[in-house]
Amino acid sequence: MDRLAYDVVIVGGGAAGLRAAIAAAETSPSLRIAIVSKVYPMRSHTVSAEGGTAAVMRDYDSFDQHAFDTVKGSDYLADQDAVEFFVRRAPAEVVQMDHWGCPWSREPDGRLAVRAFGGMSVKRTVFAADKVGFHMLHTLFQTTLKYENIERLDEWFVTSLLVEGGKVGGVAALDLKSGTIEAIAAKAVILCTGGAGRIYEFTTNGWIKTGDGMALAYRAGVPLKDMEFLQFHPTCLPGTGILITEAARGEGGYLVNKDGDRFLKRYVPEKMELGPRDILSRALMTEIHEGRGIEGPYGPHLHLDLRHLGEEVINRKLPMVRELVEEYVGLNPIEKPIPVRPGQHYIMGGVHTDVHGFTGMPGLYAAGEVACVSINGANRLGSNSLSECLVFGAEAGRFAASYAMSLPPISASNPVTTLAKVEEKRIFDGLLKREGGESLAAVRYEMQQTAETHIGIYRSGTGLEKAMNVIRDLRKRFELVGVRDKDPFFNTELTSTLELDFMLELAEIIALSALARKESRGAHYRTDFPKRDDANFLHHSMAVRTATGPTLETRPATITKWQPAARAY
Amino acid sequence: MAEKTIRLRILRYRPERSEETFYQVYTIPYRDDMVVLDALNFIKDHVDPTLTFRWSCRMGICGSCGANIDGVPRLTCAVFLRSLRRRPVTIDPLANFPILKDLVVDIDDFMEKLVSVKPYIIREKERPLERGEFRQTPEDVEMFRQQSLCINCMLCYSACPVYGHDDQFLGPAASALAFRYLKDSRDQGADERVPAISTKHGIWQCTLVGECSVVCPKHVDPAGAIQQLKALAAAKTMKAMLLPLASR
Amino acid sequence: MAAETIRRPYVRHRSAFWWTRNSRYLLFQIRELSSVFVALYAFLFLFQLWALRGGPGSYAAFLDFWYSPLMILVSLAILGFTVLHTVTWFLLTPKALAGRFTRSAASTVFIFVLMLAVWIAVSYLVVILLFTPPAPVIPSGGH
Repeated sequence: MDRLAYDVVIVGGGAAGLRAAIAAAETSPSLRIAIVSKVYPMRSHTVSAEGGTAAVMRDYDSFDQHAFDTVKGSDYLADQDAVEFFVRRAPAEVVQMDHWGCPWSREPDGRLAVRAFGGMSVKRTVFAADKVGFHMLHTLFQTTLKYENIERLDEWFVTSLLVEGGKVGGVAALDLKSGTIEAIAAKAVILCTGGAGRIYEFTTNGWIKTGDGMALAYRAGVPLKDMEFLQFHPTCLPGTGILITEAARGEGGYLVNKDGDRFLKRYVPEKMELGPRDILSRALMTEIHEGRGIEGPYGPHLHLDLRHLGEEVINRKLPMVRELVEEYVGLNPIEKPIPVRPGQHYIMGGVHTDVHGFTGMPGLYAAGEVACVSINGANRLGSNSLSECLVFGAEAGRFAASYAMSLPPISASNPVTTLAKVEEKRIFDGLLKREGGESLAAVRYEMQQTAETHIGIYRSGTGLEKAMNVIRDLRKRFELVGVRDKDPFFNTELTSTLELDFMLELAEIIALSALARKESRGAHYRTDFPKRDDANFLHHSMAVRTATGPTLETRPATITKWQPAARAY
Repeated sequence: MAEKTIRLRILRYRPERSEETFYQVYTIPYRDDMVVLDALNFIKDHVDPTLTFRWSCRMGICGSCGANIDGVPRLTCAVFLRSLRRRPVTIDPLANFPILKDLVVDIDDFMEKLVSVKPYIIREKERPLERGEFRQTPEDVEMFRQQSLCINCMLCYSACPVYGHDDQFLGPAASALAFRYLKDSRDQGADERVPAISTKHGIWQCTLVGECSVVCPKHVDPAGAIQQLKALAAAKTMKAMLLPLASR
Repeated sequence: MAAETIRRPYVRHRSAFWWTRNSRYLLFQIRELSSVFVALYAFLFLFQLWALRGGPGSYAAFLDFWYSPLMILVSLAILGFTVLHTVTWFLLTPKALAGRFTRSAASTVFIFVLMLAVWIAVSYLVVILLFTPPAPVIPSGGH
């Protein structure tokens, strides 16, 4: 086992990870930074984001306005000091992306263009046609190539954080292209591994979104915050779960039921299609449950109608929507409405951090979807996530770099190698050699179905209890899942098994947190507790690992300017 | 068709078992809405968990899932089984790349090619953030928008017989990326980037076969980009020769 | 346990007949081959000039050679390949020019027709130069 050593190790190569790497690299050219990602960075799930990146870019807008929209969107659970920090940093990040070459869409006069988005009271979402994630990811990735002090370990799967004496010393990673576990010593580690949508059956998320960083931090003793809050995006293609961006509604698209009725007038009469995602997803599901959905090969759905936007607008501002619908549904959105239904999309919860991305464990930082600062509270507004990746990726990168610079060089007697050898045994002697009779796919599918049914848009006490029991049982069955591909080299069955291990642990935490929150707030809706209860539940849930399983603590939400009020759109 | 099952013939490379590649045929249940990737996942989940392949977004934007399907480089997530005529469907790893395992190929050469074209904004002097964004009209963006759509799926390298013959060739995607930056009004890096690509194994090794543009799933048209780069590079050389004192 | 086997990426053998794979590769090969025929015509033309230099007898022998059945077939082949060469070249030229001359992609058809027109015009000029008889020399017996 070779021992690699870096000042800053960033796990995950998406928008947050790449932005953190650049920020760390710019802090000092003498710092050695490594981006360790289980896929090549261009494959990170940032790539699939479509709609835009929110920031205050116009005179008609203000920091207070963006902050208030975000706080109200979060159903008043967001930490308002963090939100105020966030909105002030976002515009500079957007401009920085322009300086790095991001092909933002433009006004005729050359300024960055902005579009309307859900829950935003004014147009503030900067966009790049409808491929914002793709363009941002490639811009960031290509920009990292100019820094000599950024190295990459591509297709290295981090299996564990290496912690000694309560401090992070590095990570253990499976080098897929050599089939070995390697120890990577680091003075600071930044987790930027994204969300965990693959816990659900119907999700916009790609295969790689398996909550790795959350599980890694949790197992190292760091709390996970607000895990019960999952965002369901209102408009996903039935069957595949492919995302149809909110920008389609931002550009004027309508949501209609089987009677051709713009039903949102009964739920969010003021904002209509640009209401926040939690309320909209519930509205769509209610329409379906009450029989006003349109029957389709994948069950009932609703319609997203773009026909009135016209060919020119669709081709210029929503070209990828058109491509996706033509290819995967086989219809032309210029002529026909698009079938849509809500699907899991984002997780507001994650690794607990402060505004600097610091988790509380010396040397460990987190940024992006994996982290929970919290600026999104109980529900995230669309287009805030990419801004979040930039702002907190940069902040975590800078802080991790400063922290690393304050430490002496990594000594040769650093215990990282010993710790990694333990990990090596666990993976190669423990996991890889397992014969077992359980099927990985069956256990995974049952977890996904259970999450979909009981920890979805609508939850109930009994449903959540059931989910808890199923998941606990699945965790036992997981011990009997065998790995049939015994070759350690590029073993995706092994990595899928590791990912399922992470996801089962997180699923249990999600169910437990949802059970404990006996109210409805934002994206968490309890049919047995349908009202928001500020008196008892205006706090974040903090899940901490113990020997007997997760325990829950609470942490009050920080309120600075905006007292919780009724949330109507 | 009234198919209930479908046969797929997939190239395997398992160095721990055999030094040679071999084909394995699988028969799986068929559904009309399956793409090739769904078939691969079904095989891995229910038939043969050792089958190894790359994928992630399943919507044709991450570029992971390139493979040769019935001899044509395509994205497995974007090809519906119902559109394929041959039976069994033959799946090979992306041509012109060394095979690591099964359908997973070694793309490090491609990654180096990307780096070699200096794919980032190069400025003589950085613009301060306080001055705000560069002004770029929609027409300015249109100059390089098409080439900015490359998802790095490498289907073009698979299609290119020049790259197949000589992997020193810079190749379509890397060249298109160079073009993307050269045509971006914010970039001032032509003096560094053009010499890097205007070489024997750079753009000049392209003989305009054009297959790269045919297979590109994002319509980047790398062939067109390379020909424009040739004109651009030649003009730059002529200008330097005829007007040696003219700045830049 | 480190992987003890030495990982050897498998490099696949490339067939010499890769160009039979599809019609575009085939057209490409034929297009490239057409250069051979264009070059062949250049040599034949030089041969023609050399024969002409050798005087009427030598040129007559050349004409016999040129109008033999075999050479007629060769000429037809040369004509076919040269037209292919030219047409494919004209179709590809706009790819290098598009975006340079105009802000949006120049019309392939426009450039093709333009080049075709130039080709025809130049050919016509050459024909005129070669085949217009020189002005007759009037013997100076008149005065």
